[in-house]
Amino acid sequence: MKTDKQMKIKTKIILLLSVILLSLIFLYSGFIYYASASYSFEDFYKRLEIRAITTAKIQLENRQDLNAIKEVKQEYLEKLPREEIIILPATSGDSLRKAADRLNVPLEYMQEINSRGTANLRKQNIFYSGIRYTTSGKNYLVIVSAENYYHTHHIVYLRNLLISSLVIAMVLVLVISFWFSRKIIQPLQDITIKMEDISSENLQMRLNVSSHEDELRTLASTFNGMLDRLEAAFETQKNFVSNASHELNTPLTSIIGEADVILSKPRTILEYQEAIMTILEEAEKLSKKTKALLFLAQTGYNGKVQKFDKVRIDQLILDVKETVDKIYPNNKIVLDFSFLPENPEKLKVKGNEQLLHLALSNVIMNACKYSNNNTVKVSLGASSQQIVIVVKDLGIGIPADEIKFIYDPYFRASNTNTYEGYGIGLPITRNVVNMHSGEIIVSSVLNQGVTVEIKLPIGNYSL
Amino acid sequence: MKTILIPTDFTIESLNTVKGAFKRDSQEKVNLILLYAIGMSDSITDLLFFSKEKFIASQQSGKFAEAFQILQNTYDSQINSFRVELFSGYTQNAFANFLEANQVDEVFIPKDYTLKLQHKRSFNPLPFLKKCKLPKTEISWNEGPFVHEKDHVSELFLVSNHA
Repeated sequence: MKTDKQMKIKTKIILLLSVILLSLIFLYSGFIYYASASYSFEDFYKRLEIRAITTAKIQLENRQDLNAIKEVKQEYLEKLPREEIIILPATSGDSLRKAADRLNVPLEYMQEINSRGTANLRKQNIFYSGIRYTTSGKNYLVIVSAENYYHTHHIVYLRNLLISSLVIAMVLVLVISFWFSRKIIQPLQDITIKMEDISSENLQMRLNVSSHEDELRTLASTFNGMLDRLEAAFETQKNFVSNASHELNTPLTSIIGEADVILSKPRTILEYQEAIMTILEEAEKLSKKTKALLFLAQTGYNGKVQKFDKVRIDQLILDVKETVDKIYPNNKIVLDFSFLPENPEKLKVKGNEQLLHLALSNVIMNACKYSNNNTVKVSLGASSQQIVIVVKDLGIGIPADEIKFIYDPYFRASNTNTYEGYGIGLPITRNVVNMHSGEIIVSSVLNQGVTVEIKLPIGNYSL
Repeated sequence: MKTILIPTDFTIESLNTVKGAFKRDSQEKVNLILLYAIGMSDSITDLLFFSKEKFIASQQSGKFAEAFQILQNTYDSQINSFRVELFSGYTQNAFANFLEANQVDEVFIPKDYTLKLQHKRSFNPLPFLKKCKLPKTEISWNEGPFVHEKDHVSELFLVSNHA
C-alpha cells in the first residue's frame, strides 16, 4: 500500500496502460498460435487420409482404372518425410496387438479405427491416420504415418514470429504509454509550475485557460478565481497603507505646525483659542479620513464566506460620494443621473457591496486626485444586460503608450511624479470588476482627462 | 400617441438626436422610428436573399445597441414601440410616401451633426427630412472638445447642452 501511495500518476498510467495493452496483444497472439496449430494438424490428417485411401485402392482392389489412380498418386501426392503405409487385415485380439506393437502405437488406437472407421493419433512429430477399408467383403486397416513437416517448420516459424513481434510490441507499448501519460500529465505539470511561480509579490499572474471546455479548464479558472480573491484581499490592505500614508500626513503636519508656532512664544488667550480651534478642525478631518480609509480597508470577506448579495448601484454611488467627500473634502463630483433607467430593477447587481464600494471609490478618488479636485462627472445608465458607470475627469490623463500597463500593480504613469500613490488602485478595481463578471474600459488623452467605463451585469432581481 | 422619425447612422453620437427628442416632449407616448437611408443593391441575387432584420443587425455595432438600450431604459415609459426602418428612395415623393406608409407625425433632425455614411450605398436623408411637410424639430448638442470616448458607450453620457 505504501508503494501504491508513493507512485506518481504518471507511473500509474504507464503501468496500467502497458498491462492492458500487453495482455490484449498476448491474448491475440495465443489465439492465433492455437488456431493455426490446430488447423495445421487437421490439414495434415486429411493429407494422410487421402494417402491411405489411394494406397488402399491401389493395393487391395483389382480394377481397370487403377492405373489412373496410381498415376495421380505419383504425380500429385508427393512423398512425405518418413512416410510409412501399413495395410493389415482387420482382425481382433492377438494379431491386432502384435500389429500395434510392431507399429509402436497403442492398441486402443487400432481398436478405434476398427470400430469407428477412421482415427487419428499423434506421437510427437509423427502423425498417424488410419482408416478401415472394405473391399470384396473383407475389412482391412490402412494406417499412414509421417512426420508433420508443416508443424515442425511452419508452426515453429509462426511461434518465433509471434514472440519477436510480442517483444517489439512491448517496446512500442511502453513508448506509447510513456508518451500518453506525458500528454495527459503535461497540462497538470504546467499548472503546477505556473502556480509555484505565483507568490504574494506577483499575485497578478494568472494561469492560461485553455479554449477547450474540459476539466483542466475548470481547474485553471477555479485557481484564477481564487487568485482574484486573494489578490483583492492583499491589495486592499496595501491600498490602505498607501492611502493612509499620505492622506493622514497632511492634517497631521498642519496640526504639528500649528502647535509648534503657538508654543514658540507666550500668546494671548484669543490666539490660543484660535490655534486650538484650527487644531480641532484638522483633528476632526483626520478622524473622518481615518474612518473612511478603515472602511475601505475591509476586504468584504470578514473572514467569512464571500457574500454576494443584491446591490443597488445608484445607492452605491451616493455612498461612495460620501466616503470620497470625507477623504477629499474639496472635491467637485457631479453626479449625473439623467440616464437613470425608469425601472429600478435594472439598477441592481449581484455583488459584494464592500468590494464594489472600494472599486468605485478608487476610481473616483483617482479622478479627484489627478485632476487636482477639478470637476469629476459620474454618470449611470443601464442597458438591457449591463449597468454602465462612467467616471470622467479633466485631469492629467495617461500617456497613450502607457495605457496598457495601468492594470499592472505598482505601475505609475510617467506624468504622476508630483502625486503621491503606489499604483494599486486600478488593479484592485479591475479585480473586483472581474469578480463580478464585469468589464472596465479606460480611455484617455494626455492632459485632457481620463474616462473610466465600468460595466456590471444586471442581477435580475425582481422588486 | 404619436409616431416620430429620427435619422441615424448607427453611431453613438447620432443617438443624441433621440435623447434631445425625448427631453423635449416629455409626457406623450411615442412610437419611435430610426431612419437609415441606404440605396438598394442592383444585384438580383442580393435582392433575392435580402433580409431587412439581418441587414440592420449587421450595420449596428454592439456598442450602439447597448447605448440605445440605455436610452430605451431611461425613457421606458415614453417609448411605446421602437423599430429601425430603411429608406431607399431617391425622390422627395418617395420620401413622402415613406412617411405616409409609416404614419409618421413628427420628425427630429440633428442641427449641426452630419451623418457619417459608412456603407458605400448609404446616403444622407437630411435634405428629404428638411423639405418634408411634417412638423420638424431641430436638435443640437455640443460634443465637448474631448472626444477620446468616441464609439464607447460612455460617449452617450458626456454630451450636454441641448438647445
